[in-house]
Amino acid sequence: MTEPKPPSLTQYFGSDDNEKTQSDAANEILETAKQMESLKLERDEVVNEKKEPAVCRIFAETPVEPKDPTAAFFDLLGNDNLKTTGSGVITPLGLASKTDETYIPRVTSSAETDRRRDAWIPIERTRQALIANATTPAGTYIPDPDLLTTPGVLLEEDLGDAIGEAVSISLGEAEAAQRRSLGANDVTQDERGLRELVQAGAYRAAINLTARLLSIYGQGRGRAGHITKHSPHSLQLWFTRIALLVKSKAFNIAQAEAEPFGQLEKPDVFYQFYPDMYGARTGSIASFSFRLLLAELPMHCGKPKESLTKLFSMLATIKKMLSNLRQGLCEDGNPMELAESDRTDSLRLWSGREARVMHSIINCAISLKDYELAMELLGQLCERDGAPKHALLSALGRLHLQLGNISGAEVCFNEAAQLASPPGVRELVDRGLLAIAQNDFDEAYIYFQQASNMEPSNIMILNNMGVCLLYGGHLKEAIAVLELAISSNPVHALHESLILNLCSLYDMESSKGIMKKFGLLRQLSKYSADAPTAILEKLYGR
Amino acid sequence: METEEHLLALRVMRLTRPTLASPLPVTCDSKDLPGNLLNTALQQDPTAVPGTETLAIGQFLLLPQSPVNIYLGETFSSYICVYSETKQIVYNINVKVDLQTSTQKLQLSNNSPTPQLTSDQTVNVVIHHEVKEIGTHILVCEVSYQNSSGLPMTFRKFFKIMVLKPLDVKTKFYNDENDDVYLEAQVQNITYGPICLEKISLDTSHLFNVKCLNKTPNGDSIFGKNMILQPQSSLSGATNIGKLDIVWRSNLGEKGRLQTSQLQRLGLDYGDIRFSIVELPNFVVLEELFTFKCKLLNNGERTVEFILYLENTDHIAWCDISGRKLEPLPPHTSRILDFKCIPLIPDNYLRCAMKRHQRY
Repeated sequence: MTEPKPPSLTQYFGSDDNEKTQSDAANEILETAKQMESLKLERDEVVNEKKEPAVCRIFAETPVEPKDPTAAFFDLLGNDNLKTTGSGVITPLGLASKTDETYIPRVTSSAETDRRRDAWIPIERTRQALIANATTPAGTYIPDPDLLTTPGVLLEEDLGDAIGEAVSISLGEAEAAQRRSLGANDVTQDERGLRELVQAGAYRAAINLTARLLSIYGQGRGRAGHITKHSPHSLQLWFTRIALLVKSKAFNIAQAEAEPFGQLEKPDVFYQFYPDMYGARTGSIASFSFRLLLAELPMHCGKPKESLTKLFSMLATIKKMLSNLRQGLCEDGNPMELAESDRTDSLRLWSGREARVMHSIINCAISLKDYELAMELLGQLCERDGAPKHALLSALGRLHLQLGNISGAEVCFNEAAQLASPPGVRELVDRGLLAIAQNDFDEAYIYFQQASNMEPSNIMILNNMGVCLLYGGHLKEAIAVLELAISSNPVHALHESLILNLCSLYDMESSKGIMKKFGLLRQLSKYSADAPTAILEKLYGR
Repeated sequence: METEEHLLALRVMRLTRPTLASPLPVTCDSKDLPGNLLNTALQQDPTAVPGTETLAIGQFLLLPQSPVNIYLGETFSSYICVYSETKQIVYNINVKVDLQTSTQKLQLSNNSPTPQLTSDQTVNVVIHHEVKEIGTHILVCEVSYQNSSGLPMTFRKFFKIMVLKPLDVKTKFYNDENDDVYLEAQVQNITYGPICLEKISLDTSHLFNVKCLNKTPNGDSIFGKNMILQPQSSLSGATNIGKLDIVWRSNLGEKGRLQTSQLQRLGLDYGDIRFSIVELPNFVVLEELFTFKCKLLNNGERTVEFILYLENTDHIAWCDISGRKLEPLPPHTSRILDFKCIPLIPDNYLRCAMKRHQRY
């Protein structure tokens, strides 16, 4: 295992360095909280199905709060990563002493964090529809069918165990039978089971489970095009499903199943559409992550320009929300009173999300080979307050390298190195990459070796050393280094990029390459729950 | 092909620069259903860079996965690996690598023979060659060895390589009246990816002085921070102007270099006599006297006499004597003439006439 690193993703969601250490403890607690929440949501379902008006109050989600006093804590964690601002200092310590006095503010804080997290400005047509919905007597508003989101599972059959199938094709049924992997039937048929599968990396099994859970909402197989209701839970299931399809590189299925959601702009994915269920609650039922995932999806399907448009439109909305907040309004432009600390938190959350969208735009620009756009945005990110400037400059330097601008790369790396003292692994690896650009693979190897001395278990560094050895004419040594990386940390090193490199080397080495690839497949079968199809075909194909 | 009957086999891999692999960032908030699981998975991805996981700009080197085009001026590099297909020991292995172009055969490698090779050993050869011709090239690998009974054996393998044209260079010449020639070179990238032009310079013949016009006075390129540079170099002189030398780089520093052939230009025929303005104020005030200077050049073989006529127009009034005879101008000399005049109406042009009187 890699040593416990602070979750550095948090910086896109506005954390400070000194708070990072607290998150690890929080992660552990998260699991239990999630379990509680799944119970809670299941209860909501039942309530919804019975159509009892009991939940038609303002804090529709809060009745179960007493059972789960940690929920407020996680709301804050999710948004702001344990920031400690003026009102309601909420830390893991505060969590341990859950007294009644501190409980009340948390409830209000929860409603506020929900509102903050879900805020979104609907497009004009949707806004009109939501107004029409609110101003007509309950149940009499009938929206245009094209204003409704009608998803359904399109995959006709459950996805199989891809590694198991690859093993039985290449190594025989007997070996395949020995494979033990987690399937959708091995876990509880709920959110907790789903998380168990995701944690184990059994993405295909998790996808199968989402299909089952979605059928409870009438959005299962063959339900596409049927009018349905949406809830936070159903949209979270969809988010999970599509995210996992993307992670499994089943882009076309992801694209097809995501198609009914559009860009989550239709009125029926806003809380205002269901006043009898959510009262005065406003904003997007779908999470920000789902919105971002949908905007990125065309890029994975070879349509990066489409993604670029969607991402820029998201960015424009976020900029508008930030400007609303700065002008003393709510995110969506409503003139509602916000406490000063809440406003600060909102600004922090949304400027973090702004940065995250900018990252996606940069990725999209790179896939379009529009390096100028990518560099422009990276430059903007560097200028932001509290930006991890050294990490961004190092990325900018690598972008220059990819384009072939060596002197530009060197300037960036030097600047980054000045900010990060003493030089760490990243700086050494960047130096190595620069040496490769100058066609000096021997020097690059020395840099990678220095980096490896600092982090002996770092797979990326071992891989880069192997690549340098190959270019220097040392095929056998290159293979040995990559095999060492796998044997020392099979769970993480059996990564598709490393497998691709090793396969190329095996192909070169001898006619026994195929046997060695089968060996890799055997290891993959032992240590991995799932792998993208393309890489498996590489292992048993030809 | 013929490999079955041989104890050795050969594999070739083109060594283009590796690429940088990066993760596929899928993230979520901890409030989302998958909690932090997707973020954790991303952090543990070996291709993710700690601190910038959500940027697809990795540090993980990925070997070239699909054949990449090779362009004129780039360096062709390959890894050639000879391995044994038998349990027997093979002796005196010699690997000879040649490159056959449409016009010539180049020897790329001919190492001294490897004395012996056991079943799990390999002979490794890495070759580099800067390609200087467009079109089909054939890499010829010849392996000769002796089997365990000492019988000499030889086999060859051929690999076809197409060398494509990377750049389209168009040049245009402009000349002004002050003997300067401007060269504009349009360099078009006709490869499939972006390239970064590292250097464009004009290697001139000794007849010229070159001044590069692509930099601002403080040394910045006029084409922005990166990207394509287009040269504009000013020259002075005559026929053989020089060669354009272009260096570019693409993925991870993959380098290419091209030189154009000699750029030819016929010397401008200026005639025997040239008359040009050398100094003229940009702005003049209406009805106020101003002066300007002209240069009169006799490029002919004889001394020439001139008579200067000044014609007043609606726009301008001269302050000089018209019809005056100038000093004779010897061959290949020039003289600066001062003129004074007063602008009468706001306008932006000046007309001046001169008659030449040649004495033979």
